[in-house]
Amino acid sequence: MVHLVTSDNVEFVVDKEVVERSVLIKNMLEDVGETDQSIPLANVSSAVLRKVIEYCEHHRGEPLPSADADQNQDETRKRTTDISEWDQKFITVDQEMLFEIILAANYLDIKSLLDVGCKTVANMIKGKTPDEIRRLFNIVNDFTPEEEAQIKKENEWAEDR
Amino acid sequence: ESISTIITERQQQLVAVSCEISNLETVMDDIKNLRQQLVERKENIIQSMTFHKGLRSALWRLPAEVLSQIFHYYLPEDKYLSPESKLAPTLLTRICRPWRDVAVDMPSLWCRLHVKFNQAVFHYDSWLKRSRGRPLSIALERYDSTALLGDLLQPYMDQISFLSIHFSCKVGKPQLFIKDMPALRELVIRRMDERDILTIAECISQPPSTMHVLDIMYAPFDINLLSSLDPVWAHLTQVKISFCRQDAFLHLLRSCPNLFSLTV
Repeated sequence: MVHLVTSDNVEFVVDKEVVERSVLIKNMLEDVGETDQSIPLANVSSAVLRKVIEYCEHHRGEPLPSADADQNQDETRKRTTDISEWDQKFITVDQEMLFEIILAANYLDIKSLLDVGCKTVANMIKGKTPDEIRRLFNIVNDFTPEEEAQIKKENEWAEDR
Repeated sequence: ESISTIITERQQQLVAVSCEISNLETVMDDIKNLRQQLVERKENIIQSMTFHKGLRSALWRLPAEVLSQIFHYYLPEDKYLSPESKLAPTLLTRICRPWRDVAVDMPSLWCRLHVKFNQAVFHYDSWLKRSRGRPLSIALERYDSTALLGDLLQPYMDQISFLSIHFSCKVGKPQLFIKDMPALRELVIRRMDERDILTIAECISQPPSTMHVLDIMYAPFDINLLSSLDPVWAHLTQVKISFCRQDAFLHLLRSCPNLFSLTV
């Protein structure tokens, strides 16, 4: 069993096989060997780690993506944004939690979870106008009027042809 | 005399009331101004609150590589992408500065382009520049000027991997330049004028050795014409072509010994 301590100081005791879906933790365990010492996860809160562990538990035993696939991700990775039914249900959370899960998956190096999060955000953007996207994610349009004019000029040639 | 007194009295009353009305109007203007100032202040507070709420969001903490992964999935799977600003990837450059910086800096977003018009070649050029040396998939639709086609493609000849051309019937003596495309893997000719068959046939009879797929199914090629040019097609593995004479089929098989897919 592996002991993990979150940023809000909550300890989780997790099966090694489950937690090793995180490449970061797997490498740590390989470096330090068998230990009862807790691994501090300063960038992950308990609420988020609970979700991450839920994901890892569900996908326990599944093969991990290879490092080669990582290197050529643009060329080889299937671009499809399909998400399995369980993953879809799992990732149906409020927006802040969604981004926190993505950040945690990136930090812990859990590629399949990062993919699920990124696909979810990509699917949320699809078919929306810039204004709708800004409203959806509370994004401030930080272009200056000059930049706006420049972008408009950059694009108007391709409109309605 | 008593009437005169009444009139004088009314005049004095009128002046006094008018003065009160005027004072009241001044107060009302002041209140109106004050209200306007408060409304503006409220709008500024809301704007600032929205801005700071946005900054607090974990979205702003996503590193560029995660944002680029999201953009990667956002891009449609279409083989060629339209440059319209309401569509990906151009739309990503219009949301906010951080998104624009990441999108413009992602060559993989700018490798597939559907060129529909022969005007404003430099605009397409600004798109293609962002591909920064990556293999390109380009579709040219209703292209009616070989010179413009050359101008647009010239700087990217080494990058073109997939090329689909729909020649306009207005084009005069179209040139394909495919011998100058050392990375070309697939060539599709969707439409052309019958008068240009010989010119095009000459161009495609000796494609670069990288080219494995040739689709001239919808171009009115006569296999006899290609036979007379003795095409060097040994490296082609997929061919789509139409012909009407049976002996042409055998000639094609002799010209393409490495075929694994033939659509006739």
